[in-house]
Amino acid sequence: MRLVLPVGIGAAESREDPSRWALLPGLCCQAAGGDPQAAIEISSAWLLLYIAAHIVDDVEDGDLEGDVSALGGPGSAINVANGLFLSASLLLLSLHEKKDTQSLASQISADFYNTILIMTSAQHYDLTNEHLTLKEWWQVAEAKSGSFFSLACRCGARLGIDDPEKIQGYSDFGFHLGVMLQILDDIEDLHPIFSSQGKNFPANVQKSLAMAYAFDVLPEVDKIELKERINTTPREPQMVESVVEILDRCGAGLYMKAEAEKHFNLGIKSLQVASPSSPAGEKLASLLHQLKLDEGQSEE
Amino acid sequence: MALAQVVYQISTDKDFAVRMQTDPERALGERGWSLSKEEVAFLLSTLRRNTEQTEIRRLVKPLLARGWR
Repeated sequence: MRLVLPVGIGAAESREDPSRWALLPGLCCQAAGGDPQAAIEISSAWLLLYIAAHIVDDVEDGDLEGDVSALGGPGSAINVANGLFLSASLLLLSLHEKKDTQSLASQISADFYNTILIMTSAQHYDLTNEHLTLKEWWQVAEAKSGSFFSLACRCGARLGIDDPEKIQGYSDFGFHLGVMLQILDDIEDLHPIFSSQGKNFPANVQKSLAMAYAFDVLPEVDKIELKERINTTPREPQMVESVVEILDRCGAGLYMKAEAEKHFNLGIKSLQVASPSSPAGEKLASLLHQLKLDEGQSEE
Repeated sequence: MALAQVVYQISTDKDFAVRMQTDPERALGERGWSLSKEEVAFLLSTLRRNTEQTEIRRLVKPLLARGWR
């Protein structure tokens, strides 16, 4: 799950601040011709759920440093997450009381709860399977990240327009943005393999897109070799180099870049279906552009 | 999963990579693979530039340096 915790007050426009994703419902509402003020409850509920999901994700993954530690440990963190889930639910309930949103309140609330169930099911699958095939990796990424960003854009757009085709366009735009974020997150998660800390390869590296790809495409003999190298303890620098060498040799980096590029193009196309040229539509497109793994990013 | 198969073939079979650059439609068609024109365009532009840009280290480091999280 991507981290969308606010990291700086008043930095929502910053390219480095992930809380900017909470702007998605308002931007989609505005691009669809609505008043972005009407999307405040949806944006707030979405952000609270994202923070809650992030906390639960950290606890479930055993990532107890950072935010979980700051919240007082796993027990306190789960309690905070429960509070955030219910706060989001109260915000959705308040949609029934506002003139701008009352006619869509039930539909939007049901959309939120259905999406959370999809995300939770995917998280359960991820937690209960030691390895993911490439197909499974995509199913989990789409259900956890794609569907959640799709929800933000779809619900925001619904406040501005009732054309199902255009709402679907915004929904698809959010989906591809969410999947791109998951790909970037997964690339970033590879960093610990270059670190000297820890005896074993971290679990999230073993379940990364790069590994899922490698185990999908490599011949059986190479799969066995890769598995042996990953499982060798203690983790020696030359063993790490040999794992990276296998990943590079089979084109794991090229594959991740190609998939990110594919979702970028599909996201832009979806936005074109949904939104004629407008400042809000251009801002949405710029959010997608910021995620592009272009040449500048990939140079050292 | 055609994209994964094509990327693997490009990365491990020099002849296939060359053929992708000269006649991608035929190179893919002979193996029964089909990609969108955007996917083909991206792969070809990467092949024309430098595939070293896609090495794992080169992808990971700038993301961290960028501090986007």
